[in-house]
Amino acid sequence: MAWTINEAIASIREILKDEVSDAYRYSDESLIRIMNIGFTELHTKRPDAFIVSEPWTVAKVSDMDAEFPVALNFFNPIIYFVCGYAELRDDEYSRDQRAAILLEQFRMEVTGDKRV
Amino acid sequence: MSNSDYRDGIEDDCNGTLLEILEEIAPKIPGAVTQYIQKELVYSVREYFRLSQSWLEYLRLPALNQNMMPYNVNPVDNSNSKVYAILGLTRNGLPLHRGAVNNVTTEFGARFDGSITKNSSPRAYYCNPPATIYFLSNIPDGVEVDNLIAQVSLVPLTTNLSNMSMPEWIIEQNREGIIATAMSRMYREINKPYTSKTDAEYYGRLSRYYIAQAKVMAQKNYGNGEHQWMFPRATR
Repeated sequence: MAWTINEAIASIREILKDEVSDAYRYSDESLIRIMNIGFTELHTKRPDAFIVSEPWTVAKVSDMDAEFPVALNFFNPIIYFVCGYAELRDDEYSRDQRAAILLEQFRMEVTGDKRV
Repeated sequence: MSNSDYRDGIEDDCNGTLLEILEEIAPKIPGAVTQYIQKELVYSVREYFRLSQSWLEYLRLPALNQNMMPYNVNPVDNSNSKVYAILGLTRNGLPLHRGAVNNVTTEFGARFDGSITKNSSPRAYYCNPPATIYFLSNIPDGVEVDNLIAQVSLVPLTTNLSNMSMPEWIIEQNREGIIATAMSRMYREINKPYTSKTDAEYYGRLSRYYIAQAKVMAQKNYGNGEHQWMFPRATR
């Protein structure tokens, strides 16, 4: 069975320690918005990721059970990107160093260990 | 339009071999999307046969009259392949000369008995790339040029691996070259986890070697061509 947006959001919430459903720090809308920013970043770096869903689609809150719109090779990098980007938010829980590590992990997994 | 029946009965199922090749190269390119490797494999096959001109086919042409000229040669399966070059043209088993393009009007055929008949052959032909045949003299009214067979090199048209249709043996014959071409195409991409200048150079060289070798093999009709002429040698 193909992985869904819902499963990606669940994985993201695990890393963000944001799993209490009646008191989410990050709403689904917010995470989906970041995920879509991640997809645009991914499209810039790895257009081949979207070969499974050309013309490429983005995630929608209204359809959380939709299939993950890019090749599953990029499931992990997108999770790292969303977590890192979410950590950039200026609040008492976020940590800049962790955000930088996660965003770097996204870049490395997408492009290989090469400085671009 | 072509009336060729030369390919009838030829097994066109190359997909099994292409899937084997895919299985062989996919683990060597970590970080690549499988569907993308499939596309690259298709483009590699196209590049390989375009450069090597080693996918050969004999096409029987219909009897040509003056209204059918110039004649555009199409493969039998023109939804999956197209003619890349006309390598030769024969009539009744004898090769026609390929002439230089010119606009000098010459008399059609040879007049052994003082008349131009159905048995007269054009003096020569030339081709407008990729696949249009001109005779170097117009076919006279009422004359048909029949029993023409063109040897052509083909290239696949499809961009989809599962739709690719070509003889299985030609893929098998050129398997290593196709793999080397695909690997070199993949390794030379920029900013991918599998980008590798060294491997791209290595497989690029290998690919060019196989393409050159395939071209020679094709020119010899895969070992089934006519015997090469040579001086008689002493046999003692």
